[in-house]
Amino acid sequence: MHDNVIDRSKEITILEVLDRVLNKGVIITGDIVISVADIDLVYLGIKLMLSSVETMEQVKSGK
Amino acid sequence: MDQIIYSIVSVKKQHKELNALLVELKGISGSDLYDVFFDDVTAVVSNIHRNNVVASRPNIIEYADVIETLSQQFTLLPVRFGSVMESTDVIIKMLGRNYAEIQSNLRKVENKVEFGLKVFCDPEKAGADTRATVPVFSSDENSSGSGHSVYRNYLDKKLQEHRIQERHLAQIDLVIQDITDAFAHLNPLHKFQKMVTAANIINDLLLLGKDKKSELVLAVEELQKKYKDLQMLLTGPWPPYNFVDFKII
Amino acid sequence: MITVRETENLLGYGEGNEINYRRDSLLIIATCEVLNKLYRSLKSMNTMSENKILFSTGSLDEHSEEISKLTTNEESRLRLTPDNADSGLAKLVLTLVDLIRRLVEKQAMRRVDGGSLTDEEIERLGETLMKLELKMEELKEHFHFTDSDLNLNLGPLGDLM
Repeated sequence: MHDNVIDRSKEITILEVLDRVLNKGVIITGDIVISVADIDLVYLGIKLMLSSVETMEQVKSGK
Repeated sequence: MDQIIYSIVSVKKQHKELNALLVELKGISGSDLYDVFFDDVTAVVSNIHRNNVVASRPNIIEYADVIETLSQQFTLLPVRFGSVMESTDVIIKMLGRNYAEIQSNLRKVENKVEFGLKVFCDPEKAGADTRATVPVFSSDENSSGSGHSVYRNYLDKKLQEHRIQERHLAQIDLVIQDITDAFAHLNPLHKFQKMVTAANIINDLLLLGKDKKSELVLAVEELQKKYKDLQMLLTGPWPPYNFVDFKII
Repeated sequence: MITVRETENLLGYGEGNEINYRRDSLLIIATCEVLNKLYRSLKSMNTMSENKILFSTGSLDEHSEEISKLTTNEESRLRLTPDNADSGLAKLVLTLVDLIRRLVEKQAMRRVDGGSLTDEEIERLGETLMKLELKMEELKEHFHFTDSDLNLNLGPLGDLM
């Protein structure tokens, strides 16, 4: 039971890290934001997606 | 040689300390870390081939680790994973073009850290509670509802759903107000997100002084006592990922 | 990193005490380097396995499940291949159309609630919205899309809903 709590805590910590490192922070290159009337509507992280499709699967399944 | 940028660091008189730290740390796949200067700001980078910039778990953890370690000693702006530029020269020009914005953001986050508070509800229970508080009445208050066209009935149904959602949002706004009041004495910057998922009704990102951690935990404990039907999750301290969202040109 | 071998070669291997002393101290330096590297790698592992949770109530299992919905997963990714080019594009188009439809519906409800519309206008609104929703269902059926197929991760756009 205690181990499960530690695993879950780690899992949550890693999910939080993923969210920040992949979605937040200063945006420097390679991203497209589609705007309509000056409102940013759709964000396409193209470079990232092209290189990470296969490995995101690994990330999600916890490898 | 392509370079991936980990963060932009404020180095007023700490060049030596930064260099010492960069020698000790390793970047993605054990790569060496370098600094690229423009005036008193520095980009921390490592050499990498574009095709090797892959969002695998080990890469991301190594990347985040660098930012985490640097942030313990320096004021910095975390950079999103995947920011690759062709050469040192290009990076220096980028820093120059954006110097003013970089500086103002560095000032904003100096001596501050980020915390995240997620608030969860039980969607079924919360939905049932909200439904109970929204009276059922139609768009035409004069009529009993009989003899209405199928279109009118459709609209009434939609209207009911809409009112329930609005009610739910209003309740969430009350909790948000409460959270704002509960943490006001800590002088935070807040960024709220509502209804991230059906269960995760509020996500509050906070930027506040490094030394406020234990006070924050106390405030959250108090808040939890008040909301017995909600669950809370407080994480941190984090480097200020959520408070540096300006765009680099 | 200094290896003991290399430095021995540089200084000249010998049996005298002096050389042994140098060799021993080089051994110590080399060992320190190895330990240092080990320490550094352990240190960096530790920073991230450090638990960032300061306070939590409720089930961590459930929380972790909810949080994982935030990070993009396979179902919410648009895949365009030669085989599915037309349905892939259709998926994107229908997702955007449905999003606009829902935004329009929401705005209409606000107008009705505001009480500024006549009976006739409300009636027409109901008819139009209903037909839009039916049309949407038709289009989904035509392409064999389920609701979850159209649940593409639209990033900031999704927040509008």
